Amino acid sequence: MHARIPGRMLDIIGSLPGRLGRGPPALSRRRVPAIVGLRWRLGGVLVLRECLRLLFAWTMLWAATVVGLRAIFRIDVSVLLWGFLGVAAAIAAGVVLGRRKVPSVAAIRAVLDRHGQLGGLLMAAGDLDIGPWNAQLANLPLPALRWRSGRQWMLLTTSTAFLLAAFLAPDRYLPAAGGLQIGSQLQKLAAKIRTLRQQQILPPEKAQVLERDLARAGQEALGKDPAKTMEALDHLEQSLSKAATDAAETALKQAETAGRMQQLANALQAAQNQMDPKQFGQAMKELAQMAAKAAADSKELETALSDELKEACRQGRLSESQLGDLCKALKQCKECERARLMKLIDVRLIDAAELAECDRAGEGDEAALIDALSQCQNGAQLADALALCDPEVAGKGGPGGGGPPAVMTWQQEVSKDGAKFKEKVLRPAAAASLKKSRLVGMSVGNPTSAKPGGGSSGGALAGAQAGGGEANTQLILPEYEKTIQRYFDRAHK
Amino acid sequence: MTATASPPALLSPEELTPAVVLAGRALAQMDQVLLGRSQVHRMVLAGILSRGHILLEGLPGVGKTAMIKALGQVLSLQFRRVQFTPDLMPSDILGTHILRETAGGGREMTFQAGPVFTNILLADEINRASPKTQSALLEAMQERSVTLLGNTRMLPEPFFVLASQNPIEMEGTYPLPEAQLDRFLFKLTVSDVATNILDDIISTRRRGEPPVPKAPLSAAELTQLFSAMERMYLPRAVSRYIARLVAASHPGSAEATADVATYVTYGASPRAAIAMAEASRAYALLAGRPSVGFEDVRAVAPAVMNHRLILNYKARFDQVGELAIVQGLLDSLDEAGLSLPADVQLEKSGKQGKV
Repeated sequence: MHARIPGRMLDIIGSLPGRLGRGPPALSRRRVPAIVGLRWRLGGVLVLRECLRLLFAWTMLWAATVVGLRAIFRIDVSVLLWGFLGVAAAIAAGVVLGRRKVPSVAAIRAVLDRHGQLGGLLMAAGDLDIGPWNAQLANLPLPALRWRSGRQWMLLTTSTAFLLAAFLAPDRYLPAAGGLQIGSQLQKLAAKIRTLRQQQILPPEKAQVLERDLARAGQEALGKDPAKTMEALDHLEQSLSKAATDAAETALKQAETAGRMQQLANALQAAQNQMDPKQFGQAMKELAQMAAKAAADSKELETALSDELKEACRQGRLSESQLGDLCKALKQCKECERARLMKLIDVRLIDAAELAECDRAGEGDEAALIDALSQCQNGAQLADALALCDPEVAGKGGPGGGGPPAVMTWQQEVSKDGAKFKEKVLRPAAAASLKKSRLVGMSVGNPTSAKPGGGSSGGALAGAQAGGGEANTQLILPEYEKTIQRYFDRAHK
Repeated sequence: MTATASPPALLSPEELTPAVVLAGRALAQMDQVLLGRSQVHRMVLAGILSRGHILLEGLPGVGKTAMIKALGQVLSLQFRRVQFTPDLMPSDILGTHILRETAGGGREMTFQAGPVFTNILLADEINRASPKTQSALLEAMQERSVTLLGNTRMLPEPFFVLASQNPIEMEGTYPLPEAQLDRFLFKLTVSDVATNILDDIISTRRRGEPPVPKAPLSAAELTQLFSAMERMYLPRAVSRYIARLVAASHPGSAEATADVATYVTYGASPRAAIAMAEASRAYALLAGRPSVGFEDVRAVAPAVMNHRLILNYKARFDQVGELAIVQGLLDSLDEAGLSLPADVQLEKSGKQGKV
């Protein structure tokens, strides 16, 4: 009674003489449509259930893998699409597992027997000929198959949404495990490179190299060593800024030139009737030469000028009727330069103040220019008048703004070739101080005396800078060393 | 239990119907003798058809002895009654050797058979005798023989012990040894009768004397019933269900319920599985079916298993009985053993299919 039931309890019962001693019963003597139908339906549900279960597990695993690989190794999304093979594998495994769980025909018989309260007749019919009892099995009550699949579908939908999010999420939203979150900086730098290339400030080859460098910096960005990445990005930023600054300077210069010429052209149009024809012709020639020179330097102006106008400028024979066209071309050139600056400002390569400077480029006292041109009677006066709109000519200098304008000349240029320099090793403290110092400007003027309070003026600290640590490095001549030693060795009184 | 050759096919309706009629006649007569005990009578007859011994438990005066006497009369079997008392000795049941004078003037030891040599032995209030005397029945119940002084004497065929016992809580009772309990096919509880039944008894019976059965079964008819029992078919799925049910009554079983794990110290024995299979056959015969269904197992399982489970002290504290645990097992185990996932179920519908 208290013995544990051995696992072969069935065999004990089956060994009863005359009871089950009919040999292993056949699972089914004949195929019963109701049994086969129920088994198929049950099998379908079980297979689908297993497939949903495994698909949920796989999609969750896949999504987590996608997030991990994208965040850690920055693996391209297209590579991770190979996970679709796992979907096929999950479905195949679901089919296999589901089929394994499909009940046997004998079990289905037992279910139908119980459901129909047939007292074992249907089960007996599977094992032996039940003869006249078959009449009781004519109409077999069938159970309804119910599967509460809502939870399974909800889980699969959730995992699929997770997977989609893992694929579609931008890099900047992904957790940076071990990496630096520099996505926004990379994007900004990429936009700057793109702008510089579009504005033809950077040649395409150079832009390509920079883009490659940028991508590599992003891939090699590690949280444990951010200095390297930041240094690379700073270097890239500086390169781009320098190129943009140079381009902006050029654009401003060209806008200035175009503005001045436009002002001169307008003034010539206005003063045409009052001017001496000869001086007017000379002024027109000067303007044509200026335009030709500017067109050679500015691609925008060259594009804006028609061939006829270009030829006229080159030959210095600008007609009165072409003045208007030249004005329009110069205006167009200035607007092009302004648009270029706008784009550089948009990506924050240059300061917005540059745009205001561009707007002011070429502005001058047009009335004064018209007045000066109208009063020109000789070449010298014409030169003075034209100097008003020449950017290379300095303004009126001298106290009170009087005196004739003079061109700044650079003569007796100093060269360091042949000069001798005395090398001197700085003391550590001085070297450190020098490293910490900041260059604020250079002057070629004469040295001036130090202001009071700058340094010590006497004693052992004569000339020493405050905070320079020089008091500890006072030079003691050898002949004074013994004397000083005796001073320190003297008996204390 | 004797073994016969396996039948070639299922019992035909023509073969089954007479047996069912005989069983129905016996049940009807017992119902006439004892009013309001139809279910107990059915179980008792199922136990007799299974050739098992039956233990009846109930308070004194509820009709246990009367039921057993009526059974003996209905089945036309020899019936003897032994009133178990604390001073009853084994020899009072089995018999003893006595010294007699022979015709020649000599003396010899002669065996004087005890009351056990009968077809139906009514062991009345069996738990009032000492364990030693109770154990005297072990061999008789299992091997259907009695061995004294080296001589084994077979008991008459058929032989049944129908014992009655008072609840263990009553004064002056000894618990039956587990080995003896396990030899009883059923333990049936005879409860109080309803008021209307009592009213019928008082109004229809003078001094409560039951009527004498008018059409008892003859020996041939009883043999016919036992023959039909031999051909009752037990499907493999049902036998597997019985095996799972008994195995699940053990705390360490994979299919054991929480109650089994908590309250049961020892589960039912393999003898319980065998008894359940036999009793299910008998129950199916009484229901007029040639094969055993799950419902037959469910009907007999509580009576077969309730006295075979050994509960721990916690069950007594929580007032959890054997029947509740068996019912929990019946509710939790899927008969067909489909092992479907929890979210997949087969429910009743009005549809019908062709076989």
